[in-house]
Amino acid sequence: MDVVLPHVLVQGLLWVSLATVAALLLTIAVVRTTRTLTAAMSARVLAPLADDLLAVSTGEDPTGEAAARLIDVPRRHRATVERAIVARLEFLRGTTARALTDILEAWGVRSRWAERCRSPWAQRRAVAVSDVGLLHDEALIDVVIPLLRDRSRTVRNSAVRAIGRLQSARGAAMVLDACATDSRSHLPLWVAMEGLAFPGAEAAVAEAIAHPCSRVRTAAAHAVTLWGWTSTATPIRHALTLEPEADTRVHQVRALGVVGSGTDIDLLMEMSSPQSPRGVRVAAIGALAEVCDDSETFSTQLTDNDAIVSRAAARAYGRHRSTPGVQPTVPAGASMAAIQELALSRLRAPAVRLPLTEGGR
Amino acid sequence: MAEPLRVLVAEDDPDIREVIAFKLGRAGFSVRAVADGASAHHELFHGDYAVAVLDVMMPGLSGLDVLATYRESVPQGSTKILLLTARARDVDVDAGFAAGADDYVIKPFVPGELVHRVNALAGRS
Repeated sequence: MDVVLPHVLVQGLLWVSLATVAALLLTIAVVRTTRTLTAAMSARVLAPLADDLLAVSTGEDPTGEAAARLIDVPRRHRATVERAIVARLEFLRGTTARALTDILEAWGVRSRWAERCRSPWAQRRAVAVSDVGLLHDEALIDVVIPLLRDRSRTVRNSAVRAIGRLQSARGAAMVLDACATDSRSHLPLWVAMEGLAFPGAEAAVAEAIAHPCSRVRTAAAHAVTLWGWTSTATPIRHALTLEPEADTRVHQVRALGVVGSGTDIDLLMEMSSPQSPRGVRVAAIGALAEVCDDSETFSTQLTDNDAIVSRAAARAYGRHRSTPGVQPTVPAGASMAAIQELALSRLRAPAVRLPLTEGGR
Repeated sequence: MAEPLRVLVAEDDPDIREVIAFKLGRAGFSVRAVADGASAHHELFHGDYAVAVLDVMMPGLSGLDVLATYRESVPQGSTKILLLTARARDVDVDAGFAAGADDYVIKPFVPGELVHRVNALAGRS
């Protein structure tokens, strides 16, 4: 009896494992077959419409006959043609994109997609909100905004992308708010940037520079760095003098390097001083390299005991000194890390001569 | 009658490739369309193209890689190169021109505008 029971158990487990593997293989086979059949069916539906679709997509349908034929596609084929049109809207804009969205609007996709944004299925919500963005109609923003706080990360990311496509200033402000750490499932910075990549987001970003949440301030500063909105220079300067969070200050300093000017040299020099955290110092040296023409600005940082800081200074110095016709010299007392960095710069750019002076340590 | 000017289109997305090739064909160009960087590299070095439209993000060799290799290997090469990309930041555009691009079009794009840019590069009015 003692021997029989484990034997039965092992046999039972073996059968369960075999059944699981068989079920998995069957599922894979069904999924692959369904995909192949769907692709074949799509190809069959789209083949006779290919010329019309191409004509509308390229603006070669002056009479509107091709668009009319597409609008008249039988209802059972519309879902397939809808996906083909959506795929083209991903890379087209202007009048051709408008002609394609007119076909979709004629089929009443607006209300259907808005309805799908409330589906219990996350994948369906994600696709629907992404599609809503392709209609490029700011009036749809109220459908998109609630999905910035969706429980699914995929849906939140799609909602951000939709706001970028709808180019809604109000949507941009909501994207920034959704970056706040006190919001449920806050947005990562890199995702938020997709919803701020249009000129109309500038005002919302300028306002968010002074937001109470440091993550929102960071997102705003990062957006300024990416998109270079010069009107934000004054709020960035002001925020930088008050910012308590080192990480946020790093982003603000980088932003000032993009939108600032020669008048910011003193502030950036202060940020690059040993009183600042290392990250801020390195960012400030990079920003100084952007706004300042004088390579001697970096002479103090080149001698810094912190190797990472002096390397950053050497990179900035080397960049300025690589101007043709200027003979660079490294001040006596430059750190070994700085000298090594400059030597590396010379190797990277063999045409530029960087004679190093004696006295480096 | 003069031979139509040849244009190379390198784009991995079949829908985009089809739209560009169709539009340029309608504009009177002789278009050769390829789907990856390696094919674009081969065509650029072995074909006589007036203009090449290169997608930046392609499998294998990117459009920037193809462009940089061409400009380095054939400094006197007469093919004008237009980069097509979703990268819209100033630094990306700068990088494209620094690599030797003659023009830069950002996705999403207007097909008609792309044809105007290719016409300008090919020296057609």
